[in-house]
Amino acid sequence: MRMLRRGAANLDLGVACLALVVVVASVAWGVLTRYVVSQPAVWTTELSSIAFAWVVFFGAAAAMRRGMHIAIPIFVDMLPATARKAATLLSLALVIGFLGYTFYLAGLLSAQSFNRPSPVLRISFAYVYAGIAAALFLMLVHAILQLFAVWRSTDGTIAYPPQEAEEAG
Amino acid sequence: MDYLPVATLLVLLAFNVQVAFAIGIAALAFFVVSGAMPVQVFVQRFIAATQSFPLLAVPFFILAGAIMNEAGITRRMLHLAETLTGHVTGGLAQVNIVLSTLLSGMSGSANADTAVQSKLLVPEMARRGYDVGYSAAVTASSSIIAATIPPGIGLILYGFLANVSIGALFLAGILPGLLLAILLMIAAWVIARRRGYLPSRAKRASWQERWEAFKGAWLALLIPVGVVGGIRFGLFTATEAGAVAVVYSIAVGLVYRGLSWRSIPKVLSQSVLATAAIMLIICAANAFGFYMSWVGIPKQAANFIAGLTENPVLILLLINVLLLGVGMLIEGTAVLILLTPILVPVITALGIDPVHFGIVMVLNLTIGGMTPPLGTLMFVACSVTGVSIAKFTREAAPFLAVLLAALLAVTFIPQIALWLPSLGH
Repeated sequence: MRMLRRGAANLDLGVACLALVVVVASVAWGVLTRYVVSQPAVWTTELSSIAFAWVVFFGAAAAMRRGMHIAIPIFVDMLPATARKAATLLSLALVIGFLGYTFYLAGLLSAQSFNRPSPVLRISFAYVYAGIAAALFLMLVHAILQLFAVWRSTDGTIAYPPQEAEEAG
Repeated sequence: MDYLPVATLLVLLAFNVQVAFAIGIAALAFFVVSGAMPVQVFVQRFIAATQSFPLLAVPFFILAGAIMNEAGITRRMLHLAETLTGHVTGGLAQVNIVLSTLLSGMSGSANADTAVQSKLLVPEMARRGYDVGYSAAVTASSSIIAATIPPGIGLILYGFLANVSIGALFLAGILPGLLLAILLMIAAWVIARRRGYLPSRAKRASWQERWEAFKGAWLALLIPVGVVGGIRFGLFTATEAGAVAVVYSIAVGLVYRGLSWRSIPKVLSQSVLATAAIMLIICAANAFGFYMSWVGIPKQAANFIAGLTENPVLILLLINVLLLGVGMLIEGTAVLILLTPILVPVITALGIDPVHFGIVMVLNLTIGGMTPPLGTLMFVACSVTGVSIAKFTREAAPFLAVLLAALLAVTFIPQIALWLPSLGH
């Protein structure tokens, strides 16, 4: 059960890692075919860009859970505990609003692009954008969970799961 | 009204909102409030940066560096550096700087280098009687070499944002990086001599020993040579060079038997997380850039600075002071992403080469990582070695002075950066 939960929690990282493998392999294949085969592969640039979008957004969701997105805590740290808690709650609420709205926009974009296939591979952009929307949704969930954690905390600092923080280092 | 998003951004940054989201919220606020174009444009711009082929070089070089480190190449390089400079006064400090220079051709990030070497070398330096603060300061300052020697992540980002050839930037960064190495070695030597720090080996290594150490590491040393050479002679683009470097480093890792298939997930995860943290800021900044050019902020900034003075020397000095100031408060990569689109039109209008300026900007912002209150290099070095910030700052002062002198030299002697790219043109 714990492994299952960890697996589900690390889904974002897994997807991003697989996408990165696709990016590396397709660009490397593009170089190789240019020098080895007379007919260089034309699909590699396209596939790598599509996969890269997933690397970035699913990776960003995984990075969010580990507290790896940089911020500037110096001013908030100077505040007394209660004020810091209020400031952190407010900024998390803003981030949640931002992620929620961006998720909605990305979902809309996905729905609108069903009939827009990519030029070479004919993959519908709906799938590309749907992946990004899913990753934004995961970030939204992480932000909401962080909001609850800060709400329960006494001093308003965000605590990240130690095991995952260690993996990130 | 035009400056509302800028004000929003500054307030959000002060309130500890993650840089990527702060920029994103400020940009979204513009799209919602102005009503000049559909809000859908925001999300298109937000995603657009991930569709850029040149930016793929970022994960590639991060990944290649992580694979090389996992494959144990750092130890081989350490052995090589030790045979080269271990016999000098303050030998381990010299070894530290030479190792940074050797590794800089595989790693594009000063932060990563500081973390690796703080773990690897500082305990050994402390054991041999070197002051820990001094050791941490040598480690952090020498890791800055990685920012300019190719492949540097900062250079790739600048090339994308300023629309400048990444290949030219790579070539331009080589001599400034070597200049840093030499100046830092001199500074470390002077201090070591005054404090009586001993060499790490009794006598100079023979050429035979050096050759053996070189043979143990040369496959990895081919990476920077192959990357720069391959781009220079038009065999591949910088991005393709990155993909080739990844495949090559896996091969080297297997040859050296340091890399096991089991370590691949860990290396991939590290690279994905580091890439995503940088790229999300780029994505948000891309949407923010739409607002800035819509309102005409780069043009206004150019006019404002041109109104102050038209002397390029003064302007470069001014920009350097500004960047050092901002770089002390905000992480260097974030500043690079935010300010490159504003500053590049300013300097090109004055006839300053954007390739030259890219080296100045990246070097400047990386040096900002050495200083309190928010230097990332300082934080990494202090947290790994256990040195207090106050002690680090004291010990880092002479090295900081040397780095600033190098920055001035690179700023006002453009040939240091531009000589190599100009060859053969």
